[in-house]
Amino acid sequence: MRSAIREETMMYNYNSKRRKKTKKAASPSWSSLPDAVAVSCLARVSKSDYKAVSLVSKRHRSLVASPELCHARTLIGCAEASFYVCLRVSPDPTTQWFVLTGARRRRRLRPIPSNPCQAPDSSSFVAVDWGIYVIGGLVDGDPTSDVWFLDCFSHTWRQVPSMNMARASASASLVDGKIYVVGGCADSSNWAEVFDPKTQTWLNYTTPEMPQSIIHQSEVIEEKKVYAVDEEGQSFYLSPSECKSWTRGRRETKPGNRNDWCAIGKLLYCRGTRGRILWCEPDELDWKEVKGLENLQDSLLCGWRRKTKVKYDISKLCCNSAGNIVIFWTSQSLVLRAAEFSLERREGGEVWASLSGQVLFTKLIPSQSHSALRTQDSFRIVRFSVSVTNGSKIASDLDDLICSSDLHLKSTGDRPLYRWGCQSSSQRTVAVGSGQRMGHAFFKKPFEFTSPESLSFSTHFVCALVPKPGFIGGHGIAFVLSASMDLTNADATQFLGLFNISTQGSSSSHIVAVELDTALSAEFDDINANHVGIDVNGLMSITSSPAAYFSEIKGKNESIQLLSGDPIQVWVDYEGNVLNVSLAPRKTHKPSKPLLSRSINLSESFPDKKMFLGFSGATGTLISYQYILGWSLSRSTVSLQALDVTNLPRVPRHRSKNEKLSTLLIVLLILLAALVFLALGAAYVYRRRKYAEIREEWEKEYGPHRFSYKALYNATKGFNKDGLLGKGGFGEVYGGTLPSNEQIAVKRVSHDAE
Amino acid sequence: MSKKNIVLKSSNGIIFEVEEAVALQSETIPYMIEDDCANDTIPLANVTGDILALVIEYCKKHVVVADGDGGGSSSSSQEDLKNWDAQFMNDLDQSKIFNLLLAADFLNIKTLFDLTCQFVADTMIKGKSVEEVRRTLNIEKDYTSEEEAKARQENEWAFK
Repeated sequence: MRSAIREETMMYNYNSKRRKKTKKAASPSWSSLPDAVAVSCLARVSKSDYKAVSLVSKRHRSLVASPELCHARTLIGCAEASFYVCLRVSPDPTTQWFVLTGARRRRRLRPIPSNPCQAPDSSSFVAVDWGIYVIGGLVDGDPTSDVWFLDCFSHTWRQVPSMNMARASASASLVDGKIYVVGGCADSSNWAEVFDPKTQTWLNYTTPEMPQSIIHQSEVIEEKKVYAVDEEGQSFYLSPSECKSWTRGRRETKPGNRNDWCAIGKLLYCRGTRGRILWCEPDELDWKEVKGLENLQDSLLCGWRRKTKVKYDISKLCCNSAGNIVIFWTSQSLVLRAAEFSLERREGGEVWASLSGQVLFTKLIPSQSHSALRTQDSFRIVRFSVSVTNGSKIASDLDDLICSSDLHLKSTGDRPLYRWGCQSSSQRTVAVGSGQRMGHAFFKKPFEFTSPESLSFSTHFVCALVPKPGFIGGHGIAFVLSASMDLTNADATQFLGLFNISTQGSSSSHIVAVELDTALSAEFDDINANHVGIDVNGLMSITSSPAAYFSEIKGKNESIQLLSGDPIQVWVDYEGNVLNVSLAPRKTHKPSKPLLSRSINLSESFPDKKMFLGFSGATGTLISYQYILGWSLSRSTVSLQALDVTNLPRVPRHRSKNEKLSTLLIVLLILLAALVFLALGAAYVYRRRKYAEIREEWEKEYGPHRFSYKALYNATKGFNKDGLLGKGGFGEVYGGTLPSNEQIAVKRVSHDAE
Repeated sequence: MSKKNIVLKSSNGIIFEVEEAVALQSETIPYMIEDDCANDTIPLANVTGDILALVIEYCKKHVVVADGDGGGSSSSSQEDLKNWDAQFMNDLDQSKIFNLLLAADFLNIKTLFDLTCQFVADTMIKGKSVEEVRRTLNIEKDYTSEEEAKARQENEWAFK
């Protein structure tokens, strides 16, 4: 009762005083609030609001970006603890950063700006409340002293002062708000450094007794003690706040169990092989296996590779703010997965884990590296030389062509070339998941006609079908007349990028094609694997013939191998409801007799009186390179501009491994030949030296007076009996005349001389 | 059961006598009692009388509930308390809110500080455009247009 009365008097006091006071009080505004208080308020809005807040004023911008705000958010539980993943997909040397976002099932890795300057390897990472320090690392094999900071709030990178020493694979840990970096360098006098994030300065951290060997792993227990183990399994610990020297601990009982130490509570955890997680008391370093993971190991950490069960290794183990263990691993086909476990220490000292977090499932290669994969193998092609005439020349440029899908058009140098629809490498086949590709190229102005009678055209093109080394054949190409340029629904392989299983044979396709088919598709009644055919709305050719040309000289058809890599000229003429197709090798004129001649009413296929002309090609399991080297098109045979076949681009050669081998062989042969010559030369010189005649003393004065047998033979006219001067005990003496008209006598020493 | 009372004195000399339990929701006051045990009156130099009255009103409400809930009615009383808090904050004007915020900070009354911060965040910042925030909080723009454009550009990807 008493307190109630007091309250009333108090309230009375308060009311009476307030009337006097209101005007006097300097009303505080938002701007007058201390930063700490303002930050407490700001911490309570959602992250999406910071965009606006940061634009309110400069003070707000700095508040929003301050570590204090992050810290405040952590304190009040507003901060969503995020996982940051830094990974490198070889062979790409740049690291990519991702943040794990999304709740529960929709968890995924969202890419954040990466730091192109970051060392690709062996950096140490220290996460603080508001960001991640990336310390040192290897750049081109050399340690670096660079330190980068990822601001996890704004996802920006900035460089912080470098360390005094260049370090790689150093052991870095956060103790009492300071970053201790130990090891990773060769110089033991600067063995450790400490970084103060508040002052952003590095100081050498020298202790009386410093472990001389390389620290392999270290971890901080309960923010007080640093535990470390060196290469030899010797453990050390240090309490930076209490003493300044490392204390030697026990030797690790199971050396090698030192990957990804992580401290949860008073225990150390690390990852073992074959999906195991190990734990130990830091003082004992007696690693034991965490129980309860059998399910995980059997179901998640397993995969099938060539029908054998394989166990994946955990690629990274770390802990999260909830004191749970998070493991990452990659399964086949570059999928990154993660799982979270809560830990429980049961009676008997065993540690049990139970799956508590959703399993992440992320395709490791983001789309841009797919495109990188694609762009890597775009080729040294192409400026297209096309002259399309309609009485007058209407186009001579690539711009008038519309190309789709795998058509590679790229100008490099003065070699115009044009190609599509081919496989690049088996690697890409894997990446794309399909070996079936097709390409189209259309002249983008529609070819219109007024009446069926007026429809005529004449075209001449040069193409080359180059076999891909190591692959059998290809499906070939087709000259296409189509009502639509959009053939994306068509299938590759034997459908030539023209039809698919349902449009094949359907009269609504509105496609007429001249196929140069290099594959035998029994389903379309193909005659052989090297034929030319005319297709109307389907690949069942209405007429076809083995590829050949009419040779004027021989007066008969000579066959042509389409898939030879040599340029082939093709003429397709349509006039008066007759479609003629002729083929010829590169240097031959247009044959007087067409290969295929077929009466056909093309206007029936194009009721809109409009069609597009172009090419289509496809590959499947059969792969070849298909090139169009030149194309000329006109409304009539007369006005058709002839292609200058001598001035066409060359067909790129695709060397197989065997060919490479043969070049090697050639080089080896040349080397061998050179060696033989050397040996012969050496033998010759040796022999000359060996059998060199000895010069006598008097010869130096009077010059050599030696005559070859041949000279003497000639001088004595072949030791003619007529010149015989006499006969001695040793042999006969002949008289002779030297070419210099000197008279000489030659004694011929006989073998049977006594 | 005798309850000990504590006397608080505001910056403009107004005396409040409150039960110890009420006063001890502030984490600052116990230190002051220790420091200043000879004198019964605790001077609060940073808090004016009207604001101190509000603080005491809040503390009293909360101490009563803390005492009163036996367990069964806790959820409903929690609900009541929430409603009361909302009403309490809604009745205040902006300058009082900021004063209350500062007082709660100074007296270190965590629940009141959190409540006020949340209220400020919810009513003055959350979901508002730049201009609205400026107007609500009475802040002058100190960006030049170039600086603002630059900041906006940086924001494009910073706060995704």
